[in-house]
Amino acid sequence: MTPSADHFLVVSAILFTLGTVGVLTRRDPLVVFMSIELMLNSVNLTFVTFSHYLSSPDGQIFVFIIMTVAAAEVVVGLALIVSIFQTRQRIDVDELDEMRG
Amino acid sequence: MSVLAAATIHVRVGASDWGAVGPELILGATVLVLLLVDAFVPRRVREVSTWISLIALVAAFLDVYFLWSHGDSNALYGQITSDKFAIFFDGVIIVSAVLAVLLSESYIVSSSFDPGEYYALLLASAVGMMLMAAGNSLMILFLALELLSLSLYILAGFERSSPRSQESGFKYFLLSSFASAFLIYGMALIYGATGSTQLVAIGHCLHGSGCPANVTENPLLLVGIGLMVVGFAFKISAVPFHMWTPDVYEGAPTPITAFMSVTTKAAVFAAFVRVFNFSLNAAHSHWFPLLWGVAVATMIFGNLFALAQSNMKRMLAYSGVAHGGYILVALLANSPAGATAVVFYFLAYAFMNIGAFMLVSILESNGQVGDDISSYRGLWQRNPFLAGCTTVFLFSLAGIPPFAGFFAKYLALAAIVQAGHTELAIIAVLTSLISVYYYLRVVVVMVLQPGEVQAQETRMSGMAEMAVTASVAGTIGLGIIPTGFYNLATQSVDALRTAFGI
Amino acid sequence: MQQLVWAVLFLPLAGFAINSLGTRMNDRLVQWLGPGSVGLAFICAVVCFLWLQGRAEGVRSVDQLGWTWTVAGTFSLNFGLILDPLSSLMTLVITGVGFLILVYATGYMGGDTGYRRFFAQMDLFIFTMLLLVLADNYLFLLVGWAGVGLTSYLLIGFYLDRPSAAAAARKALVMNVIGDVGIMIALFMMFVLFGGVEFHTVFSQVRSLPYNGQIITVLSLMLLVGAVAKSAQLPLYTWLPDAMEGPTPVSALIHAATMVTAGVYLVARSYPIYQQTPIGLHTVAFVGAIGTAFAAGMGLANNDIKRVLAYSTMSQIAYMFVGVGVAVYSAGMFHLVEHAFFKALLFMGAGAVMHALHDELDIRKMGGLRHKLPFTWVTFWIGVLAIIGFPFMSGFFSKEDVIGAAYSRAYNGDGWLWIVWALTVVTSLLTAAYMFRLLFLVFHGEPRDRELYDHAHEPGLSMRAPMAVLSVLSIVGGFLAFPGRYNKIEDWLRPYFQQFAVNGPPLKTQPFYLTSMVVTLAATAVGFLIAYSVYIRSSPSRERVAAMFPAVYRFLLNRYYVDQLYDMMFVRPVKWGSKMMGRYVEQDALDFTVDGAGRLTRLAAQTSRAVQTGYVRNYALGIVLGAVLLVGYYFVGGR
Repeated sequence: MTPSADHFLVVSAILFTLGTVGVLTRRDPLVVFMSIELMLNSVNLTFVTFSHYLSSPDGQIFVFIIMTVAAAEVVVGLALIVSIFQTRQRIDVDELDEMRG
Repeated sequence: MSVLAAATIHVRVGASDWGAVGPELILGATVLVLLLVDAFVPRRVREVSTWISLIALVAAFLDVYFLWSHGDSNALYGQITSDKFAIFFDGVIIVSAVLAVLLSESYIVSSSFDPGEYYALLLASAVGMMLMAAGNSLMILFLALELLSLSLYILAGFERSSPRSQESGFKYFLLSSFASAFLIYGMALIYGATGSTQLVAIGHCLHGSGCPANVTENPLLLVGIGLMVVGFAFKISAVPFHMWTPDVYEGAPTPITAFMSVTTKAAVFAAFVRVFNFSLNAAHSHWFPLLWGVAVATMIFGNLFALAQSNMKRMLAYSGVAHGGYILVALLANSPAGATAVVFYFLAYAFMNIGAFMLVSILESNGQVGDDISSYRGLWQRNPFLAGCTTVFLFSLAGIPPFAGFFAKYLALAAIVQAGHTELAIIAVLTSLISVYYYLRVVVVMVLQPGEVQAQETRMSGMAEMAVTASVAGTIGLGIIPTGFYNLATQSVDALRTAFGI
Repeated sequence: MQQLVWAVLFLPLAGFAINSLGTRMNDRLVQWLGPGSVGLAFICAVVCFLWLQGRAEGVRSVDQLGWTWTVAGTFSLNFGLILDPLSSLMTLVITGVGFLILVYATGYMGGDTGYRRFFAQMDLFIFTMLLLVLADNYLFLLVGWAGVGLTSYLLIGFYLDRPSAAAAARKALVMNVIGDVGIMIALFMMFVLFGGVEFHTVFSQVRSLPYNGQIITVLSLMLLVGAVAKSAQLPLYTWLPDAMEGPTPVSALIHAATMVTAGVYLVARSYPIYQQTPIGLHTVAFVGAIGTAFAAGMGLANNDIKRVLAYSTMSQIAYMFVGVGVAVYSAGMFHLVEHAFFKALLFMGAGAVMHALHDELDIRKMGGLRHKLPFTWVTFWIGVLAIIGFPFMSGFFSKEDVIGAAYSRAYNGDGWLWIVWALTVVTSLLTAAYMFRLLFLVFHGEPRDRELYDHAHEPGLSMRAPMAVLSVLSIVGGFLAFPGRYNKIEDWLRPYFQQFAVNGPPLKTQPFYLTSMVVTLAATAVGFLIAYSVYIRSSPSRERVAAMFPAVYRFLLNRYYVDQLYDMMFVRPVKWGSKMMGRYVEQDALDFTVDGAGRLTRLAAQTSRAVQTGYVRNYALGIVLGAVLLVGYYFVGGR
């Protein structure tokens, strides 16, 4: 059986959901961050799927842009995590609750 | 196939392409210069970067002025446009950036940052915002959104020694990337349904040229629209995607809060109008109920939560949420009048909202408590100028005539009433009544409650004074003689109508 | 030349801006700037007046267009100033009397820490008041209307360290906002009915509405709600006596001479509306007539020098309401002008007394001050003679104009107005009684508090000079009209009242009725005799009078228990309800609206604390829930 567009789309939707669940449940900022990356990559899969089945290059270009942006996000995100690590011993996203209400 | 094919066969990126993104290029180049300044210029003359930023912003503004009279043009195969709509927002963003730079000067002096990095990031985010307003394809919109967000994450967490600032930056980063994932997923689905990432092409497709007949009923498109609303709604802090706003605003350096509170919203709303009112105009009946619900929730909860705040920055954050609701109402009108109202609103909002944050920032630069409302007691005695101007800003935010905010709100409500949704106008008016209470409360504290007898005087740097004066002039001027600016806003929307053929 | 009207409006604003925003200001500069800007505005107002006088009667109305304010949709509004006999008269009073009071204040407020704040806010008040009378449309009239309410709120609460002042300011603001809402509703009705809110648009179409119909009556009553609240008339008057918490120059300017008379101006300005609805006119007249006697009664039993004057202000404004309510608009305006003179003078006298007695307000502790304060005593006499309508003093002519107007309308067929006339005559008896009571208790007899008396001294020149000027005006100001001979005020205002064709009672020259005048004078004389026998000759003595009618005395002393009545009817139930709801009433000084606001704040705070946990995961959950709702909408019947 050759996989159809629907299969790819369903897989990417599942990946996206997994990423979402990861963001909601994990407490380690690094893992939360990885979950977001997972969501981005599931979108990449969607784009490539459409690009292939629509014979349109736009989707692939978009994937490159997303990958670049994701790389930049990693840089900024890790920098922020490191800078927080310097002032706190443990890192737990739930500890970042000084501001609320 | 078209874009890639064209690019590989004959790449023609000429002077007119660069000209169309002139303001962005000027600021982008300045970003590089500023980084070099930090690396090579001795520490004691680093104030020079303030001046470099200001000069670059003025140059960019002049270019904007030039482009306005020059007429609309497209760049990079229609990916980016410099129509009057984009240019108008460029102007708003540059003005806000100027105000933010003027305000930052004394803040930087008092907290001994490296100014070069700070201004470079500020300008980089401004470039992102301007590109967002100019983006004519989903790709550029996403890229621009990330450019502005990445810069702002760092700026929000810029005070590395302050846990609050760190928390602010990190929260903003995590949640915003999370929301971005929804946004691009939505973009991907829309691309899948319409076969294009170009906004104009999507618009034509939905109107039935070159696409299947019932494309507006395609579930891919509908879910895509829903997810894009999530992404955009997060950025404009609409309820229930607003929860990051007060925390991030509270922790970020105040000049940055002032800047981002206006400009991020302006840039995203520019894209919002372009995408929803024009590109997705044919699917109006599908996105209208979603945004209706979001707008109503935003107006109600934004104002209610603002009522509960005793911290000025949080209060203004929620008030910003509420204003996002009023602007959504204008957007919901889905008419040229509505789009014009959005455009005008941001011009007014830039002056009055940044102005309202100025008080906090100036007090902080004085080493005083800036964001606790009860610390404003007796401000009228300590610095009547500042107290008076802040009163004007708050009145304007509350929508009291004859200030800019009244007129902006009036246009938004007039547009929605014309569009036949009086219920939204009524909700907007009722919720604004709540807002009068919390704005006025600050005024009462400043003017009517006595401060400590030996309270020190609140001083302002020359630049801060300029910023306050300019904002007050804008707030009053736009309220008293709005007609000229209203006409500019109309022209900018006309440009969009021509581009999309609506 | 007519462009000078912009200078009239904006000079006080400039004074405010420089006073409040300027750096390196000292008290000396403030002292010149505050009154100076208003003085210049007065000169400009005089020039405008003379220019207007030089024009033919038919063209004595100039609309100075500023700019088109709105172009959105079908609605456009020109912001402009109207320079016509009515607005010109008002600007003269506001800037003229305002200037004198500000000069007086330079002395009176000397040494106060809020010196600069005071003059800044006074200038701002004068600007908003001028905007109110100069606006050529109801929207900007409302802006000015709300503006004077706000500045009066600021100035009543001027003494920041007095909780009673803050409470009084809050009371005034709330009552004024009720009035503002009334005008807003009227504004909205005009929009719907006439498609615009410019005076010209409204007045030229008002005759198209059914005469004495429901719509026009509601419109006129909504305007009246605003007028009543601003002018402290029944039933929204209780804020005025409390407003005396403000500095005395504020009481003189805002709560006597100008702001509180804005209601009279509003009715006079809107005469084409009122002419169309006899019910509306009658309501105005009766609110006025009942108010005259009602307020005078309270003045009779009060022991606070400023509050007595506040009640007399309310009573005199009620006379003006009678004047405009019987459709003799010029009579109401005439009394407005004269009242500005003598009431400002009386307040200045009260201020001088307070100044001399270290802010003592209780008239029972005064007495015999004529030896210590001869100048103040003489000017106070002049003020009292003017207000009771002593022949050939200013109040005589203007009050005669009003009472005569009521008489004439009643005599010529409007039978209901006999009641109005009778009430105004009775009130002239009461006026004489309570004003002489005040005068005798403060200045005559023996000093009742030796220590206060010994330290008393005359005020300085900066306070005496304005008092002297106003004394002269209170004596000669009335000769603008002479009953039955000529009436300059009526002549001056006639072009305006003939500008729009109207139905309703005829607007013809006011005749003179000897009967009415004789009866009024007799009543006044009786009032004087009562005060004289009780407070000078002490036969019967004050105690005996109080004992003769104990119930009446207590009733008056407690101001008819109206405050208590309002308390029982409105305040208590709300408070009780809130208590039942879980003691949500915040004792927070910030809560100046209603208790409900406090409750809402609490609720919002609880909700926001529950939602806004500070946890990133919860925020992310919010985003996901929102996404599920939005996307789910398409799957659950949204299509």
